[in-house]
Amino acid sequence: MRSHRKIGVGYLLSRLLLLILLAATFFPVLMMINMSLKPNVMIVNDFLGLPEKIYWINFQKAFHFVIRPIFNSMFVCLISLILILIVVALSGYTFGRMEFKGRKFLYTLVLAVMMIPYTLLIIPSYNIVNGMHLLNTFWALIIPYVSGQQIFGIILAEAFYRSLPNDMFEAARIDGAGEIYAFAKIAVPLSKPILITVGITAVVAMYNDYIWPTVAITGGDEMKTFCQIVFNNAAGKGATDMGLIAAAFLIGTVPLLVATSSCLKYYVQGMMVGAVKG
Amino acid sequence: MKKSIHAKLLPYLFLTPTLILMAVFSYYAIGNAVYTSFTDSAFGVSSRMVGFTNYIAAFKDEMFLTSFKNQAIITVTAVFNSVFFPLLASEILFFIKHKKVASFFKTAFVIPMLIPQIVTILIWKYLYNPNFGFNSILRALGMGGLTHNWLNEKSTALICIILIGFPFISSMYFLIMHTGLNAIGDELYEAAIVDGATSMEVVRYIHLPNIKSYIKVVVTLSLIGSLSGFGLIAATTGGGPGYSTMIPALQMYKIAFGDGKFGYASALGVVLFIVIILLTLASRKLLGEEE
Amino acid sequence: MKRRNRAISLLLATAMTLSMVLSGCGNSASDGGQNAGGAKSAQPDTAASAAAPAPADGTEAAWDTGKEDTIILSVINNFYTAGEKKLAEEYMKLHPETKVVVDVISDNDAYLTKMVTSLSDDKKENAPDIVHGNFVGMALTNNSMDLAVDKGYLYDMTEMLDEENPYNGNAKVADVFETDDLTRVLSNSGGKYRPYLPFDKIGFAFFYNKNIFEEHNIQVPETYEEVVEVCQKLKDAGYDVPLSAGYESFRLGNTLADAIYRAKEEEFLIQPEDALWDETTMASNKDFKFDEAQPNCDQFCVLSPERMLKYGIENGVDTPENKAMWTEFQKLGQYFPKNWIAAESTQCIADFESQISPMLYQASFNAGLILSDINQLSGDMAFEWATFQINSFENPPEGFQKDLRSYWDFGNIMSIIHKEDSDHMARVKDFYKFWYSPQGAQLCYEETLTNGNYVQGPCVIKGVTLSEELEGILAGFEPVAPSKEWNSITGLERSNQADIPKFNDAVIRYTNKEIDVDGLLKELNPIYSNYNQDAKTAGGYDLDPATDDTPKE
Repeated sequence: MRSHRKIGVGYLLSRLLLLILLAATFFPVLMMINMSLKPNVMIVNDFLGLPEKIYWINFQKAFHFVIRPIFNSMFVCLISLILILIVVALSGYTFGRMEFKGRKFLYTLVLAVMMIPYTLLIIPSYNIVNGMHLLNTFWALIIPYVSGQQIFGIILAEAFYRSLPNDMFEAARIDGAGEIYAFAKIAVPLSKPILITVGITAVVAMYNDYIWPTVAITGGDEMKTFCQIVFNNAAGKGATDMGLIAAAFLIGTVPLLVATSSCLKYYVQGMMVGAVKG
Repeated sequence: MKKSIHAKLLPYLFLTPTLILMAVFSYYAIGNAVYTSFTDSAFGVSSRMVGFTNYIAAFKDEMFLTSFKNQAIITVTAVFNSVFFPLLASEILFFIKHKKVASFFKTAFVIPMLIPQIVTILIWKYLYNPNFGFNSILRALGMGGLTHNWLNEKSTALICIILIGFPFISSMYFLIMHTGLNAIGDELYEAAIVDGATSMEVVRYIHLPNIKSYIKVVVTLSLIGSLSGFGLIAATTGGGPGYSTMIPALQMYKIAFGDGKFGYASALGVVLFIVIILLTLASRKLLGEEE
Repeated sequence: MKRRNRAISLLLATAMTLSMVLSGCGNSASDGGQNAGGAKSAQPDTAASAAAPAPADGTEAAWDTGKEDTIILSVINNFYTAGEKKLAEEYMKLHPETKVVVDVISDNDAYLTKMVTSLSDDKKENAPDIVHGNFVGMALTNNSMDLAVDKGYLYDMTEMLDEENPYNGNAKVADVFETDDLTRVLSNSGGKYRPYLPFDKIGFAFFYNKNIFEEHNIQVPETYEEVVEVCQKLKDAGYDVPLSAGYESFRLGNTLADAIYRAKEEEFLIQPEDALWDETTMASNKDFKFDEAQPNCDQFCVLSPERMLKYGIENGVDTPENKAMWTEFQKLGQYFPKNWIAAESTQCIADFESQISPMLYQASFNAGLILSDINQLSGDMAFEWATFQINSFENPPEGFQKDLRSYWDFGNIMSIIHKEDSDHMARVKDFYKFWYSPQGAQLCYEETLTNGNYVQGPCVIKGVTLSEELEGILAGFEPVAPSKEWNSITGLERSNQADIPKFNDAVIRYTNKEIDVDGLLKELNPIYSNYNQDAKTAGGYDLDPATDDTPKE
């Protein structure tokens, strides 16, 4: 039970600050909705203005080309996500809670991967995927994504698992539990918030990536991912159709939104559990 | 406690997927880059070893050196923004009494994360447009003298790039800070309340010490992210005007795929890689090593 | 909790159903003005919509019809993509054993990345088959498509021109093209090969806001001096940026350069004693001297890249001629937007459409877009507009000829990637012939327009007709005569990617009057020299036109 807070100046100021921050954070979302309902030339001429007549054409056009790519992207993101979470949990736990020779060295190796500039990875990755004859398949996207996104997840997970109090694990060990049990039954359930954080960030990054799919997919429109298709249809020489982009991204964000909101529920649950145990 | 062979090997087993993926996709690439950096490899020509020629040229390259200066400014501010604003928002949320209200705000802060960067860029580009955006507001307020061609003037371009994305809350870092704050045990907090601590004291003496590990993670990730990403600058100023907003990663990309000079680009990449390693190690030392 | 999730799912389902319904109706007849022709309906004026080309009777396939294969056509968005998809569809009906995939890529940078990446592997197994050849040239130094052929990337179509086109009643492939266009291909590529065939032409013109001109009593300018005057008048009337221009303004620079250098054009043509000399195609080069009375007199001439490179290396970029060109350019350049070199076309077009700039210098490939955009403006945002071209000086300055020729050159440049498998190449060539036949090109154009996209310019394949309105608009971009490209000598668009920021910086400081023309040329010299050295090394030029050159391996 929290004690009753006095309504002081600090209280009001902090609430006001919060609202301002929220408004500033949410402004792009509102603008995006506004843009999606106006033709591009009106966006250019009168950016902030409300649409004088709601322009549904953007959504109509967007629906024509965005549905299949959304499924493509979702498929890629889902498979990648599952693989990423598995790898992140395993490796994060290993680095965070297990003692073994070379732990610091291997961890530094992992950390170093994140520092490799992206440009250097494009051609080698292409050659590898080409060599595996996976070019122009979804695996050409999934495998490099897992390889790339796992890193920051491992860093996060390592910090988290390390911060878990030791008594939980001691108690289990005294009861005779093995490492695998400790991992699967104790560590993983507690790490839901971290895994969800990793999951959301990774999915957003993969969903919105567009350079790698352009290089690795040589097929027609039915193979393209979401981001690619949007730019293919809405951007171009001097002809960026902002209204179309906004509409397409709004549609595309819906699946992400649904997934994220349902996950945030587990996120809160997971944190409560952790807090009580602490 | 003696460990069985099985237990000894287990860590390595767990790490196998990660290590294999890393070796194939990342270490092969950096190895390839290091090798290429010692050649004059270019698109359409076979390469010969040229020793340190590329590296010498890199250190004489005025644009490359300036780009590191720009990068320093961008990275310092990026790291600060990634720590300060999410922490600020998380703190304020922490002290909200009604859990439902706090939960609503948290969701509201997370949702814009799903918006792709390109939309944010488009909006900020509009705001910086010399004929609209901020300039219109300034003129309406009678401060027409303060108007600038924000992205096209050397004096303002870099600062404007840094400000894109304000208030920097809608990100993974916010989720991390939020997790961190809530992971601190309730008893500490309640003990403080009993002792009559104010909010500011709670923040200073309970929160900050206990989320140090999370702050360290955020610093590391945002440091690396800032040093590697170039999409934002490529889409807004392309490194201009002149090279006042050029960063190493962007220059490297342009040389590799614009000129096809793989050898030189790889050398630039290796230099950048080393700089990132040094900076990351330095920052971790600064923030204190863990056990 | 469960209730909330169910509510969300319900909302999602409703949203999707609603949008399916909405997109179901209002499908074909898109909003007025989406069509480049400005016609409200989507159908062009020509009688029946185009039929797909069909092979002449008795044509035998040059490949194994029992085997399946895939050919990939890699294009940038807005380059007739809808038309090409339709062509692919129709071709597959004729030849089910060949799958034609149209791989659309959103912009130039991504396209270049993809080209460089997929061609970095020597075997080129998974590289696309039909590509924008000029990008491959761009990735090699000196923008040289000839070099791309020498190195085995691009396929030389010279022989193909003599082959029969089964989709044009077995006439020769070359028959649908004008001879000067084919010569132009040769000249543009470097004088040795024909790595692509002509498809369309693009040009540049000045767009102007009729309402503003009327309001300030301004006549449409006809000479270069008059345009400059008009800009000053508009500036005095309060328009900060009288002429909205972007990166494309280099074409204007080339127009001015053309008025200087064509007087000594013969120095840069392939001569009979050169290694590249070919009697059949270069006869016009013999004893050539530019005749001002006939501005088209050099349309059959072939430029020599080696001679131009030699001139460039020997003289640098700060020559009196270049100085004159830049000085003249500045008279108009001072009215450009502040950072015009880096300005995107979107920005420039936006400034014109929002009436901030009364004039705009833009290309024919954006004419359709501008047309449809302005048609959608209403109330006091709407305005009338038209285009004009500048064809001459009133009093040409010293060193300049009177007539001004503008850019009128090929827009859509599609090449074939050279692969070892002859069966595969036969299929690719067959599809190319299908596309570059009168019916194929017609289908391509019409399908593009029907889909609400815009065409780049008029088609150069004989037998393709467009609606009168569209032809009328596009005619406004054709100059009195096409200019030749002097960029190798002026240094415009001739800098390495790495040097572009320095190049842009110098030019901007010049148009902003921070440095003078001598300062500009001094700064451009090292950049120009870098580029030329790279070009010389990559092409293996020995700077002696009489001898053969071996490109660096």
